[in-house]
Amino acid sequence: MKFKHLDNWMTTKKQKGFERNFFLNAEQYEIWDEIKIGEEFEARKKFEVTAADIIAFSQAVGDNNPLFNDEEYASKTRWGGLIAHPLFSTAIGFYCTDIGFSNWIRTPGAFNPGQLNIIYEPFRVGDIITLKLKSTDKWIKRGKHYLQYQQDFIDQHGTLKVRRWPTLIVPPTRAEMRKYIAAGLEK
Amino acid sequence: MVLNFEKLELGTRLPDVVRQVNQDTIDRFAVASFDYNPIHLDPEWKRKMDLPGGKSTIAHGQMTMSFMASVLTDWACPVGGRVTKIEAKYIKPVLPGDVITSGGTVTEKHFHGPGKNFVVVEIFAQNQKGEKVAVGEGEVILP
Repeated sequence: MKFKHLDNWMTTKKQKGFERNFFLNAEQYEIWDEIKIGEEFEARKKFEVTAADIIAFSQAVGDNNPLFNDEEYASKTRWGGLIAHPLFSTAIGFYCTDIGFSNWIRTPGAFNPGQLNIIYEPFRVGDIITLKLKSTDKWIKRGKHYLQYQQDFIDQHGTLKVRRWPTLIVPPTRAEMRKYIAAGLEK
Repeated sequence: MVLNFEKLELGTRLPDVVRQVNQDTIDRFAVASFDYNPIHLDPEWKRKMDLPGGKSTIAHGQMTMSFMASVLTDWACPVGGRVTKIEAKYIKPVLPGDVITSGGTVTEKHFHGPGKNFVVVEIFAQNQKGEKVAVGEGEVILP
């Protein structure tokens, strides 16, 4: 299996069951020159938030804040239990991203120049999150191809918990994207 | 002095957060975030590609942004504050071996009433050479 050594860091069921080959099914991905602005998608996969998920994320970023790590401490605060680190939506976003349309974040050769996150409510244990995506802008600047899209993270009660706008710099065409895949396959 | 919206002065500097980055920390973040992009994980693949960071793997931007978010939460959570917005632009790649110091300064106070008053904090992350790797802004509701 690719990146077998990463097993050492896996502490949750989701992590252990997740496909770690970034290029798998990449031919089905939607590429920059194919994206129509305003397209909307809902990911089929849901993310049920557990204490282990919250703790794994905060530990991975070296954050020992007891609100994100200590269930007993957190239960005595105004939150009544663990809350997630503000960037926990990153994990949900990647976990729920489907193969096929709206998979922009998994494009081979893509990288991330920045983003904006609005946190209406922190993620909590027991939340079952649905991810909705919408392409909002694409542009060319200094020879690079940018894509911006909106991600909405909505719980099982219909509450919008986080809205964020990731930006990506991506290969502009399928032919360009294939160069990144080919380099991986040569190994 | 206990952190309090009314008494807080513009220009207040938040305590820094310092994190050592190496390939292990990058690997661990990949697992926690489900982001297995080889730009972060595969030195052999990365060497062949014309991507930021030269021939080295680079840390996830979201990891750097998480460090910047921790500046806000370390400061505000103990008094019952909460982060409602965070934005960052990545200026320079973070490489294995870097030591990243993140910090922030209060630049705005917004008076919306009890439970809604918030401050804007300019945040940054820099490497051990003093080079900014990311800049951004956060909003924090404070009691």
